[in-house]
Amino acid sequence: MGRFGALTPGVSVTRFDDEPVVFNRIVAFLLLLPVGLLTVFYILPTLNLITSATSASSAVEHLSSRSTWNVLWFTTWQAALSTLLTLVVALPVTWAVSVFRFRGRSIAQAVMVTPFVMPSVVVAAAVRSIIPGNDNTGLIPILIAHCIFNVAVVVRVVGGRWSLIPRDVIHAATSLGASPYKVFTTVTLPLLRRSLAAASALVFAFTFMSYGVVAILGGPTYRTIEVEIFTQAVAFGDVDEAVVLSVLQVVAVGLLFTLTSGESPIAQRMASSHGVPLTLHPRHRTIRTFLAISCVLMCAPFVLLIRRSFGSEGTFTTAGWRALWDSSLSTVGVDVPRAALNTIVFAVGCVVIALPCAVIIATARQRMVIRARQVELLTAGPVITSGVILGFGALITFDTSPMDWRSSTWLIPVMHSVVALPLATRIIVQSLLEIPQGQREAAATLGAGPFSTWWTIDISASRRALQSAAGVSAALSIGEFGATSFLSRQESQTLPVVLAQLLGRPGEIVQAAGFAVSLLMATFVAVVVARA
Amino acid sequence: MTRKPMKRTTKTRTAITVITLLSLVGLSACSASGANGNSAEQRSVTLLAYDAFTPQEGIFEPFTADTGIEVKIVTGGDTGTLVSKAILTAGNPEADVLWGVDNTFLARVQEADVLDTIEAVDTGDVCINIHDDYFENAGLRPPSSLADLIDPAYKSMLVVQDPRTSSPGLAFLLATIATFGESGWRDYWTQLRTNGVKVVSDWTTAYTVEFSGSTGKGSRPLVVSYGSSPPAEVLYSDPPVAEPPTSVMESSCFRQIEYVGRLKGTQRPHEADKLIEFLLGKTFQESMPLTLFVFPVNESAELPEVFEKFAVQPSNPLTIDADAIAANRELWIEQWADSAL
Repeated sequence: MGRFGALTPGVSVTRFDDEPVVFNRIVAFLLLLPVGLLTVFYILPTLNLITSATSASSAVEHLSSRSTWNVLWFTTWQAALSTLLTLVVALPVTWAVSVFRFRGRSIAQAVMVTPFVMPSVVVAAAVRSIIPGNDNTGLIPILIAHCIFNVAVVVRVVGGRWSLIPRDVIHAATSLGASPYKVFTTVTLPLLRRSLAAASALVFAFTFMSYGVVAILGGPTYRTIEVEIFTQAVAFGDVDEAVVLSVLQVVAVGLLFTLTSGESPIAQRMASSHGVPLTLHPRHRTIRTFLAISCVLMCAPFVLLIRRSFGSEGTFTTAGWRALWDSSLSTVGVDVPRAALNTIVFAVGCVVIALPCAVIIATARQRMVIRARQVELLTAGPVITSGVILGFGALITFDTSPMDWRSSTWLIPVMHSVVALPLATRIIVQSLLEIPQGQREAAATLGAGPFSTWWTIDISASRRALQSAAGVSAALSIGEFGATSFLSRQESQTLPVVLAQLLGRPGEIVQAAGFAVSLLMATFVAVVVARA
Repeated sequence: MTRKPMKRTTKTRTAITVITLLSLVGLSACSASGANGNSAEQRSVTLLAYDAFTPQEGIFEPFTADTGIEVKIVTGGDTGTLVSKAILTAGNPEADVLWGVDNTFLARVQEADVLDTIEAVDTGDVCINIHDDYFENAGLRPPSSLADLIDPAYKSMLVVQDPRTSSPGLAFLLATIATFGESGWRDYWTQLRTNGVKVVSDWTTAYTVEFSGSTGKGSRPLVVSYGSSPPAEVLYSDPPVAEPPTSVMESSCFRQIEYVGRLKGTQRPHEADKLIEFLLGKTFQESMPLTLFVFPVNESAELPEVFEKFAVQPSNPLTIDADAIAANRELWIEQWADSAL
């Protein structure tokens, strides 16, 4: 048949002649790279963790200890409370932002959604800065931080659906004499039920697995299961207890995700919303004011962060900022320039590893080399088990030769890439699937071989997606705290680790320096995400 | 026609980004190798200690002048955290010398075999410190024994450290076990809890933030600290005072011995040994009372006057046999968590 088969009249073209098969085989071979990465650095540590738990003689003892169940109970009810609070706060905002159209709508939406892409430690620092005094940890700050984070989820998931509700149905109900409340409960809510459920499940999952926020805002009394894993393993040295808790966490979150797997939450999150919004009426000025106030409230913590980096209320000092560059923080083991450099280098490393792997998986998925289900399974794992499980698993797995890697600096960007891979893959898969097959066939017709087709069509058309995936991977790496807190050492410290260390100590200058570091981090993320 | 110029600028931008990133990576690689590679020119040794380790300014200069080795000090939480991290990084430690393991944590360190050498470097007592002025102003008689602490008259006045992370915290727990015995200490802690005891994770938070008698001007006039804390208050008082504002509950004192050791797997064993030798020598040992508030083990070291006057070192402190601590520590801590939290 050959490449020029299409030019022969009367002969139908099939794509599957010799060369694509070779190309497909190459792709399948290259697939070993991401599969190998995930096997060694994700499946191995996680399995080792689980089997360690079952072989630990004190496993049963730990399972029946009061403190284990206390932690699990606290994690659950704070997640439920956070979800409830987020819904209460976010629903009015979602309604205002998605249903109406007015000048400044996109700004309002951006303000509501941006905190979600920020590292959890930065949001935690921002919440700390709005609470005066030294005793700024506790349950309320945790709830506030969770709210700020997850408003974005509700706005994206529910807002998208809300804007699609046909206006004429609402008008029909109103004209039949239904009060606004009745309209809401009988028309709107049933239509929103699925997206509300999906949003609630997502927020519950995120707050259940909350680590950075609780590590910084929880203080000694409030610890979720992930923070408890870290505390037991690193602070108390009770590795067995930490292992048992890890298994509990994996089981709990696994259950959570299987129960909500009907709606693929991540794909939903990335779906853009289209709808025909109402035009704003003059009497809806109150809505605009309400939104303005909401935006101010959302921005306030971050503005206060700037203020707090110059000292607590009543003082103004640049000592905090200066401490970042002179070596006065070295006594507490913090080296900010080193940490900043490490963060950047790790982010680059993460992108360098994750992006090609994501492209390989996406290409394989698009070419049906492996089926969609298998792709999901392949990359869904690291999303479900959190960074903490990953880091802790790596800590207890890579401690004997030939895999004595837990002290190696390179392990950290590798772990980051494992965390970033699922999201990067999905972004690129979506983009590749959107390219009409006809374009590839046209290229083949014009004489392009499979590799040229792939390069000129798939990759070129996906340039935005590639940038987006790179930006997202870099942002994830910059803010990654769970795995890094287990694996970082003096020479490999990163900004999130430094931030947590600074904010965890008493002292005016140290705290101000901590807030300064969080601003530094926010800037890095902003730069990276803006390019995405 | 308008496409081409845009393509060129995006390409230039991408090129600049890539070059900047590559040079950053190159820089970091250079600095990393520089840090490890220049050991011939500038020898250094790293000392890992707890947060409250504040040696005298410049005390290591004679050491550096003598041996050419630079001393880097890194602090990492309280003793318990230090020990846990040392165990988790066993074989590939983050530092060369570990300071601050005491007799209560000694068993754990020996079990985990993270130290090549271990030697006693100082002694002290962990006692309840009392802010006298607070009680005078309140017209209350300050507590004089551990049993007093569960009296409702002293409700919500005590702050202690978590024995899982803090060595004074663990010492205080052992003091209660030594006083009330195996059968009574758990009830004691439950009653302490009812009486509003606050548990924090480390000595620094307890003493410098929560305690009312020190710099933090906190809300609690009773804290677990050292027999040598009152002289510290005199020394660092501003404006200067002749007598300490705090005193010590002698019947609560538990003897503590601190150790220093070389971490197993260090790349610089020779330098580490030299540092340990210096830490046990007369110069450093004499500087310890006024900066670290501990008693030296070196017999030739002299004590400063303010220490002799105000530091408390009871002749009959509470102790528990090292083997008993080794055998029961984990169980006691678990039981403590159940009773006290």
